[in-house]
Amino acid sequence: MPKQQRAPKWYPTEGPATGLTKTIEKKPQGVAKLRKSITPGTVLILLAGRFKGKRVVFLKQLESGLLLVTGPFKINGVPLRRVNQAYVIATSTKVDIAGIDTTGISDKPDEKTKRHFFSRVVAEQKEEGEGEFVSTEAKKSGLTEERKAMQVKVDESVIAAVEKTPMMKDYLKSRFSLEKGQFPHLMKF
Amino acid sequence: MPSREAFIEIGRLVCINYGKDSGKLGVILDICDTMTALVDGPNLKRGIYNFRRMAVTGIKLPISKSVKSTTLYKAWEAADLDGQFGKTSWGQKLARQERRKNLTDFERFKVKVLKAKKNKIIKSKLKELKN
Repeated sequence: MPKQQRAPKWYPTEGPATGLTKTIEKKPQGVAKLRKSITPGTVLILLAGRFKGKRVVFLKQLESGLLLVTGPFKINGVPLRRVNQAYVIATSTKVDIAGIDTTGISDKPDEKTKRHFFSRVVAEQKEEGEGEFVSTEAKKSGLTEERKAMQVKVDESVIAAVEKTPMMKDYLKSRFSLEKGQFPHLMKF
Repeated sequence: MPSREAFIEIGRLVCINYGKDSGKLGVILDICDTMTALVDGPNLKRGIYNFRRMAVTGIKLPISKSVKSTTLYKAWEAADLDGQFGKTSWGQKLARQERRKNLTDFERFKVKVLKAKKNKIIKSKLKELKN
């Protein structure tokens, strides 16, 4: 090669802008699409977590895409809870919850407080505990009065609907389990 | 000797009991060779099926050899083969199996509870009779 046109020792990591590259704007992912088999009032079987195997009633899909379910609490101990669609089997059994008002329950963080219905409540630590003496009366974190009130309100109508069908209450009380010879891919739910 | 007169013959109602067509009814239209026959039915694709894959019923249709599918279905409806087969204990058994396979989760729960209740009553009555 002639001396003037020697190959450069270092090359830039990126070549010159050619104007041919496309910057694709990433579309917002959007909320998970609700399965056709899940409609308000459907009995769902929870597959994971603390309440796995429990049969619960589906209320609505929240803004985040998670499903709002309730036991009802008095029947099987499952409170108003959020659940991911992927960890749920939808049965074909439906409870008639036509008139239920769940508008007060939302996932969307409030603009000012950045909190929503399901936000964790942090316990207020008491100022006691001087030295080695730790206060045994630390306030329990968890439920607000709002949530308790909403639970009672919603469950009232759900339980009324559940009691209309014979054996539905016992059904919701029981847990789902597989027995010998039962294969989920061959079973109808 | 079979308890009923059920021969492989033209017009014989058979139940396919192996493969993806398992449980379906068909009528033998023609015998192809020592192992296979031409079979057709409303839910069955007209074709050659092996005798080993079918179970012979006691019901027979009076048709002639290798009739067209449409003719067969007309004769099928006229004789109400589905109804005839449904009345037999075999047919009822198949229907029961089908029903049990298609139970929903709630129905399965109800069956479990009611069965336990029934057995409890039977056991207590039996105990009563024994004493």
